[in-house]
Amino acid sequence: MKTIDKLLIANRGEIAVRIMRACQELGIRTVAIYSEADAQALHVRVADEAIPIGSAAPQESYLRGDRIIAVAQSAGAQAIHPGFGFLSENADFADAVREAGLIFIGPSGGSIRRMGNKTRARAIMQLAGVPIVPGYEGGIDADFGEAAGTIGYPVLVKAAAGGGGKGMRIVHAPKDLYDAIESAQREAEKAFGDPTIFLEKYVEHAQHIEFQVFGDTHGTVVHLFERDCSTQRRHQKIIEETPAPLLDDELRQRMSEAAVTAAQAVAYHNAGTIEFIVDPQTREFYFLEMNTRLQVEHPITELITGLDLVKLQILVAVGEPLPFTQDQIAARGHAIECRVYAEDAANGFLPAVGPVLLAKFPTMPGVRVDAGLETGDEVSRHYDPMIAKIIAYGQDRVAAIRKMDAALANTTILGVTTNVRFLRDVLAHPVFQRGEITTNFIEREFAAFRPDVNDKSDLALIAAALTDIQLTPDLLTTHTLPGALRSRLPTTNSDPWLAGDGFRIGG
Amino acid sequence: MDFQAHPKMAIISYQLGDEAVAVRLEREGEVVRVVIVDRVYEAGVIHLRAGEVTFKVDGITHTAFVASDGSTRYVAIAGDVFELKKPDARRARRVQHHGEDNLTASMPGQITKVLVCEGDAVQRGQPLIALEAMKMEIKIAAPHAGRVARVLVTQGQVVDRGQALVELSDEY
Repeated sequence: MKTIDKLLIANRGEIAVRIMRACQELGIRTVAIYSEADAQALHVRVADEAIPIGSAAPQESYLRGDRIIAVAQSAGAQAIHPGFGFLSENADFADAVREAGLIFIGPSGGSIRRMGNKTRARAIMQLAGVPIVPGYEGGIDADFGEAAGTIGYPVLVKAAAGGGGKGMRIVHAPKDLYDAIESAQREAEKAFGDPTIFLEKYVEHAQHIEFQVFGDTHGTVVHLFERDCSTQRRHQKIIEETPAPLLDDELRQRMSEAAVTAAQAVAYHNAGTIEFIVDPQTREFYFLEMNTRLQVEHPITELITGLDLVKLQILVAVGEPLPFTQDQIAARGHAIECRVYAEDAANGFLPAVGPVLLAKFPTMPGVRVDAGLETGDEVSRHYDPMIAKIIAYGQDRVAAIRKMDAALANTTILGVTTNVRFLRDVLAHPVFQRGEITTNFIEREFAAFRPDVNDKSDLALIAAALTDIQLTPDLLTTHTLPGALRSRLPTTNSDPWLAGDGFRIGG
Repeated sequence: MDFQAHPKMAIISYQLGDEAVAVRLEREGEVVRVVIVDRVYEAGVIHLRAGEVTFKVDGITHTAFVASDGSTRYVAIAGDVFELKKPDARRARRVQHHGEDNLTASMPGQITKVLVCEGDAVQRGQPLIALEAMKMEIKIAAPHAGRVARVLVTQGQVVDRGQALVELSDEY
C-alpha cells in the first residue's frame, strides 16, 4: 500500500482550502500552487507550503500540468489532487501524473477519456443498458433533418467534445436546424478542436438530478444518493439539494442502479457523478453525462451521509478498499447548498470583481461554510467569482430551507455585489418551496429580478448616521461607549466619510 | 470643521440610488430621534466597534456592518447590502476652514500609498494617503481644497491611531 505524507493541490479557492482541511485531519502536509494573482490568497495561507506556478492567466498557471508535476516532485509530494475545474478532467494530465510516479487523486485516465467524449459515453451507456436521451450521432448532414423529425422538436445540437454550454444550440423548428448545426460545429471546432456534433431530444421542463458514485480499485462501486441541481442560471448550478424532492424510493432505486452500472461500465474508481435529466411528468430519466471528479456540490452529500468525500478520495487513491458496503450507507435529513457568487443578479449575472471589505459568514448549528476568501481578500477577474458555498442541514426539506435562509441572512459581503438576496428570493419562491424546480426556472421566473429591500433602507440609513455621529466626540450618545473603545474610534478630521461637507452640525 | 461644541442636532445626507436622503438626528436625553423625510424613529446605539454597530430602533435591536471605500459606504442589514454615497458635491454646503489641518490616522495601520507630494494643490475629497488597517484600505481624503504643506509619513510606515499624516494648508 502506498502512503502519502505530502500532497499538492492543483487548484485554488474554496476547493483547495477544503482539500487542505481534509489533509490536515489526516496528518498530510499540503503544497499549494498559486498564480501571480493569488500570491496572498487564502489557499496559499492555509497550505504548509506554497509555490508560484506562473502568471494570472490559467493557461500559464493552474492549467500548466507539466510545471505542476515538476513542482510536486521537487517539493517531495507523493500525490496531486486536481480539485474540480482546471485539470481535473484532463485524461492526459492524470496519465502524466501517474507516469511521473505520483498518485493522482481521481479516476484512471482511461475512465476520464471514455466519459469525456459525449458521443462515446452515450454509446457506452447504451451498451450497458443505461437509458440515454433519445438522440442521433449520424455522420452526414443529410441525415440530421430526418433524425430530428424522428426525435421530435425541440432538439438540442451538442458538441461531442463539449462542456460548459459551448457548441450547444436549442432548435425549435426544422427551418433553424442546419444553421444551428453549422454554428455549433464552428464553435466546437474553435473551443475543442473537434467539430463533431450530435442531436439530443431537448426536454424542456426537465429536472437535473445526479447521483454521487464512488469506486475503489478493487472493483467495488457504490452510490451515495442523489442531488437535485435543477436551480441553474446560464446552465450553471446555483442551488443544490438532497434528497431530490421528485424522487420516491422506487425511482431512486432505479436511478441509483443505473448510476452504479454507468460507473462500472468504465471501470470507475474514486469520486464521480452521474448526471441525469428527469422528465417530472413522465418520471422517465436519461443519462446526461458523467463528471469524473469531485463536484462543487459534494458537501450536501457529506451532510446527509456523514462521510468525508475528500478523505475517501485519498483513501481509495492509495489502493485501500472502500470502508463500507452499499447497505451500510444511510442518508439522514435534508441538505441544501447555495453558491454565493460575486455577481449582479439584477444585471444578467454580470461578475463583480474587487476587494472584499468585509466577509462575514454564518456560524450556527447545522450550517457549514466552504469559503475561498476572507475579509480583505480580492475577487479576481481572472477566475471563477464564487465567494463561498453555504450549506445548511435540517431534519426535513422545510427545516433545511428555513435554516438556509437564516444562514444567508447572516452572510455579509461588503465591497462587491453578491447574489445573496437573489438566492433568498429563489428559496422563497412558491415553485422552489413546492420542490418543482426545472432547469428553466430561473430564466422563466427571475428574468426581471430586482432586489426589493426598500423596507430596510431606513434601517441602513439610521445605521450609517448613528455610526457617523458616533465618530464625533461628545455628540449625541457617545457616552454609551466604553472608554477604551471610544479612544480607538477614528478622529473626525481624518475620516474620509466626514471629510466632505455633506455633514452639517447645527441646531 | 469644528466638532468641539455640544450640538443637540445633526443632519447627515446620503445618496441612496438616485435619491439624496437627509437623516436628521436629535438628541433627547438617552434616545436619539431620527427623522427621514416624514418618518420618525427613536434610536440609540447599543454597541459600536470598527465596522459594526448594534443599535435600537423603536425598541427593536439590529446589527449593521459598515465599510467605506472611497466615497461609497456599504451598510449591511440582515444580509442585505446598501450602497450609500456622499451626496452630490454640487448640492452640498460648503464648510468654512481656517488655517491648517492636521490629517491623522483614524486607525493604527500601515501606509500603503502616499498619493501626494508637498506643495501639491489638492481638491476637496481628493485622496491623499492610503492606509491599510484591519485588512481594509482606508483613503485619507482632503477635507477641503488647499495645498499640501507637509507629508509626515512614507509608504510602508506603520502608524498609530491619531498620528499626523499630512498637513494641509488652506492657501493655494
